[in-house]
Amino acid sequence: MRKLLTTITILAMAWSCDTLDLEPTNLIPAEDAITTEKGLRAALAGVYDGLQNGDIAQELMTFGDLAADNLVAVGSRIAYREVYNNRITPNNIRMEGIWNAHYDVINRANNVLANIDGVEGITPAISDRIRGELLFIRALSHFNLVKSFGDIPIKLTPTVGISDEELNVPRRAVADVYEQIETDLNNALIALTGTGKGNSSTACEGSVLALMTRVALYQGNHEAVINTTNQVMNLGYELVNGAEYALLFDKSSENDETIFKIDFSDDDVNALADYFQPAARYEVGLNQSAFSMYTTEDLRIPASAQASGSDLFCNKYTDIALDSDQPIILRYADILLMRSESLNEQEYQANGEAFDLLNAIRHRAGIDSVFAADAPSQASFRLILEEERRREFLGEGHRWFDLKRTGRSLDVLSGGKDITSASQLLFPIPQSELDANNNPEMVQNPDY
Amino acid sequence: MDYFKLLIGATLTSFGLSGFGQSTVTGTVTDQSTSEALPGVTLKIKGTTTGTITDLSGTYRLTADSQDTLIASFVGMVSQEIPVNGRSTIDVAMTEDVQQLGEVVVIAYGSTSKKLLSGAVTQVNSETLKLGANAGLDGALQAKAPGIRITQNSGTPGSAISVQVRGANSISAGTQPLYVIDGVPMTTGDFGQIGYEGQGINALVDINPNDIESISVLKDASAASIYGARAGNGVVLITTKSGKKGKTQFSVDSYTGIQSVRKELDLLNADEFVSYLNDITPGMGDNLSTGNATDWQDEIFRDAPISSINLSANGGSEKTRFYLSGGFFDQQGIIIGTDYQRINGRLNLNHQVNDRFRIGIKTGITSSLNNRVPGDQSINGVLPNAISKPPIYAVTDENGNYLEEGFWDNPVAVGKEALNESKVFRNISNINWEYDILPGLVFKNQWGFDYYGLEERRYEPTTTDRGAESDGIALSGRTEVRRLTQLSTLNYEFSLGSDLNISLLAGYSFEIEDEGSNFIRAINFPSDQLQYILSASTIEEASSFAQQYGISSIFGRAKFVFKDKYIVTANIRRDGSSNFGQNNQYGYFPGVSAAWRIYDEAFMSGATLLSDLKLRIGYGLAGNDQIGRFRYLNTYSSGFNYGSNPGLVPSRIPNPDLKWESTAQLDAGIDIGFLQDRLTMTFDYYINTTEDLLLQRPIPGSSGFSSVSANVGALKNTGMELSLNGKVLDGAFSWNTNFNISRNQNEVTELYNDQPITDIGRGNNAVIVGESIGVFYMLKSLGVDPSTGDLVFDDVNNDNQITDADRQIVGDPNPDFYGGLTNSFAYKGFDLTVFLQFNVGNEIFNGVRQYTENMTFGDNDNQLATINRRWRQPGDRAPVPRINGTYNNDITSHYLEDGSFLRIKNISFGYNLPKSWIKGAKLSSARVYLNLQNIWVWTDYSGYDPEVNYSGIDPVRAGTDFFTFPQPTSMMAGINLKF
Repeated sequence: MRKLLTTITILAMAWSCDTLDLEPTNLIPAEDAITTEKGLRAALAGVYDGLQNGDIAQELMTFGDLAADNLVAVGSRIAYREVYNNRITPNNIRMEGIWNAHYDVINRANNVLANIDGVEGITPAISDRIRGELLFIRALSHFNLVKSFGDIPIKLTPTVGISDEELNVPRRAVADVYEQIETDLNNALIALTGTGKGNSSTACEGSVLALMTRVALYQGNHEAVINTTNQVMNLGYELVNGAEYALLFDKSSENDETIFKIDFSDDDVNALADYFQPAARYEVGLNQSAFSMYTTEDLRIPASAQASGSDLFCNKYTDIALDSDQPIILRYADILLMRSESLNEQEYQANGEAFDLLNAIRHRAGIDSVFAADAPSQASFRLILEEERRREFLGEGHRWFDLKRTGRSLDVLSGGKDITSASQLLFPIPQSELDANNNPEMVQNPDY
Repeated sequence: MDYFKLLIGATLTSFGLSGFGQSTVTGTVTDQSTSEALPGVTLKIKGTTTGTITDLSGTYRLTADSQDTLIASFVGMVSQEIPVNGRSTIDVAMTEDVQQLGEVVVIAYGSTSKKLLSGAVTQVNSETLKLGANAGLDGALQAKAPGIRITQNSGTPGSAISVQVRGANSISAGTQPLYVIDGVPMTTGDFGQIGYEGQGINALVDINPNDIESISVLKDASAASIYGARAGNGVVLITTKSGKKGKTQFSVDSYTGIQSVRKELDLLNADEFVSYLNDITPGMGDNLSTGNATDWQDEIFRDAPISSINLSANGGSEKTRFYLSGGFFDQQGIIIGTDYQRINGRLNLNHQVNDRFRIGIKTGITSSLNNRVPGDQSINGVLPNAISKPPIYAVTDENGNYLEEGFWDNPVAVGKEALNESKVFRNISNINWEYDILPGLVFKNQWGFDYYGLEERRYEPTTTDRGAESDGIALSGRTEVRRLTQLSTLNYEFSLGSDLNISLLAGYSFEIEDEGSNFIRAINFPSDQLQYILSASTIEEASSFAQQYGISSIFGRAKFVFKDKYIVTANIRRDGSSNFGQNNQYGYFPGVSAAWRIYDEAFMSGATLLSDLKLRIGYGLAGNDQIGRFRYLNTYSSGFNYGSNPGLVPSRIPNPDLKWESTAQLDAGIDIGFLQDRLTMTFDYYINTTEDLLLQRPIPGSSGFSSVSANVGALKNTGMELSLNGKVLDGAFSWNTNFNISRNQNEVTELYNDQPITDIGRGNNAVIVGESIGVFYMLKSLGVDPSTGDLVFDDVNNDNQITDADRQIVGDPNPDFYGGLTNSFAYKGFDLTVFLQFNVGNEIFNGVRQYTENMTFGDNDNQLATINRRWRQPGDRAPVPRINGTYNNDITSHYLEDGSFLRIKNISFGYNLPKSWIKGAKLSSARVYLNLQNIWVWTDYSGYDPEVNYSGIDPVRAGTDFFTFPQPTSMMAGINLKF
């Protein structure tokens, strides 16, 4: 009997050693995560995954139209109503979401960038390619933040602890942020040289150049716009046919127009269709003026301006069943219109290249071309271009930021919307950031 | 072991032979009450060390002088002194020592007599548990024991119930106690992967209350801290029935009945609704027909049957005893589409191998099927749609097809057509053996296994609105939780002199929990008859998951009882848990308690009114290790995929210092008995201080994270408990009464930077330093302004504006006091028990009114009839604001109500058939009874039921009603036979 007792006791003791020595089954220790090419590629996918966050792929996208005169908040989301009414509070839950989601992506990217040199057994070509993609994503994230909030913290190292330097960071001037974005994009371009137009779900030479164009245009650097668009136009992108305009937004279609989109597989979810479609939740409707800005022959109407009874809606996001529409961040039509704009800004030229580029878009949409008689001056061309951008990019998150960068927000929006002050053009810094960040330079935007 | 007996016998014989004038005395010792032989009784010759013990047949043999006196003693029996007087045969009949032993109370790793108990422990026995029809043991315990607040969160059959011992001791790490069944810590909680919004399932419900002998709740740390890092919320010890030797006794207990909704909300009918629409938007209701009006509540509520049958057999021989039972429980919910069925089986077997070695097995299996419907918060839920869908719409068209008119889903279609089933298979078993190394020194070893298998399936057919969008939606989830436990204890009981009894315990245990699950969601089905994912064309989501948890412990306890009057118990446990960070792998949890039985002091001999008086005091430290798995590690998480590429991302900012939450508990209590214990009273006062609360410390979002887990908070619970038991009358007409009342005050004493956490959940609960957990923090309504028809609010900062800054604490979801009162009467075979439950001083946020009394343009939900008393014109003094009132949609105290209630929880009326009637049927007893459950509630609360938590067991979202499934009222008839 005592033998049995002793045996069982010893057995029990031996078992116990395993009890506490458990390894997580769904997590891997940080030091083992990015050590091989496989781990590096997985960590890169994790960074892209961050872009699928609803606050990036959906909210920021929607707000670019909702804060302006394209979309209307028709549902129960208070955060949306605040944006539509241009009376956003610092506690707006989606502002916090947009802020946090972008810094999450930046932090994911910084983690990989900090570890990429330690990965063994990969060729410089592979590490360059991945570094380039990461820098593109970091630049895109900082750009989304700076265009929304103005001065923002620049984050270039991963957060792994709770030290003062990691947590209590200051806001940096808009110009400094743009300088960092350009640095990242220039480095990305070098790293991605030769990748051409790649595929539109991952960053390549074309996406970097397209984002450089937009960043330059937002700063009014038209020379740079001309320069980068020259390069993009040599990469083989093409406009789709007018009849296939709606297919641009259908994820199953392949096309040469999309430069960069956020990929959503069947098992990834956003609520774009749910929020846009009257057959579903219908949180955002179409502004009457946006609905009526198309002439009847415009081929963009089926994807853009639709009505279900009295419910007006933008029809670019339609995947109610799977909730996995893929928002387009950069497409070739934008390259052409941005170039057109910069050419006109440099010098008005009657029926010059600026007209050709604009007419390429109008022709594709099946509407009449514009000639010098219609736009006899630089100023009148600007207005026509502004209207065309509104029609072309309805629901793609451009309008608010376009008006803001051209200084036209108050003129255009003060009619239908409650915009009385330039301070409304910046979104408020989320209250949660202000509460938790002890840096004296972390202060709220004016008038919030 | 016969060898041992021989040895002892030979020794004694040889000893005896050497004496002078001695002769052999033999005899049999029996239990007077049963006349059965008693083995193991000690017989000693007074004034000597000479003695023997009885063998298995109760006989003894020793050598004694004819003038000697024998002392026969046995645990729990009155010792007897018997002069030999020259006799050679002396038979002894022992009687039970009621005075000394009294009720036996199950405590951690053992049991003790109630009179020698020094910690705060409440035990509830099977008779009390059986009162009422309850699927689970937590429901059976409700309002029956002081200091334990049990809340039925919703009426969903088989759903989780909230159990808090002495208040909420945690904000984020869970407030439910540790459950230990027959020594094996159980897997509890909700492992469901398909959300039912606060109507979670409960792994506790797999235990059949009929199989339970007793439930013992260790309420203070002096009693519970021996369970260490998991004892902070109290420990519930469940003991299942075991066999009793003797003739096999069969028992049948069966009831059947009907349940219905106790109360429906008074909503607008079709005509009233149309007229309301016209008020909100003139002309809007003009073209609407009221011809096909539907009372949606009538469509989804139903009279639902409930029935239960339990069979058991129990008996055994001297060496082997068994308890065998089987049960079937079947309850339909009062909302269409819901039901719960459970089949149970249990075998408890003990065998005595020899007089030093015992083995046993206890095993219970359960198979259950639960059908639910989407719950409270879902806009696809049955009840939310039934309340909100305007009465002008019809259920079906003339061909019987469901109509989907208006914004809201057709609740009848959702309830009847959608499939939402969960199946559970459960096996909780343990094998145990114990060996007496020396007299009084026992080694016990137990291996326990708890298997919980859950299979969930949902199918939304094309006949529902959502199903139609995707051509059928199916979800399938499987979860398995395996828990292996090992427990070894060494227990030594001995006496030093005649006055000091000492009991020592040392133990070692470990547990490993292994959880695994998988989940698939698919759409696009060829037919609604093909509901398994095999038939789907698109898999939307598929995943599998596993995690482990381990805890390894050593513990010890020493108990000293001096002269049966002074009792001191001290215990300590060291726990290592895989949840703790590298810097805090092990935690130590001590406890100490003392009791003084004043009644047994000589100076109390004159106190004839009293029959008992005992003071208790205890102090201890207990922990809560449910702080999440591997939160302390710096890790990358998987599942963050992009396209077809698997992704990895940093999980969190690691905190290697992470550790358990710890609660220091001080308890002082008094037990008093009057008039030969016809009236007994127990009173306890306690202070529980919890530190190192695990909170998410907010950090700037610019870091890439919004918070880091840290042990930063503290809170305090202080309270009082009183229970009274009285035998008011005995004799032909008997009347017993039991009353318990508890008061608990909860106060949050520390948060990260003492920053309040506000706007939690749908009732704007808040966690604020100086207040109790989950207080309601919102604008305080002062009523409707007769001039404008808008709500007016308390302008806290007097700035003449109503803003968020004017929010204040307007209520508390925690009651001031709560308890139960049971009165039982018996007369000539008839018995009547009336059981009342009360709860006083808490508030409920009525989230239903926020949507159905808001009269807001564009929503067009059906409204409560109370809106007929709304403000219509200047000068009106109305309880309800105007249509489209500025604040009608906001969470304000306008929708906060008093949640106090007194409930007739149960009335049971029974009749024991006279023996003469049942003799022919060879029955030993037969009782028929009628049982009325939850038949009346006195309350000012305007919703379905004041006992409600839309968010289940979460303490910080407590006290909000949000379209929550109400508890049914039920009537049952039953029969109880023994033969």
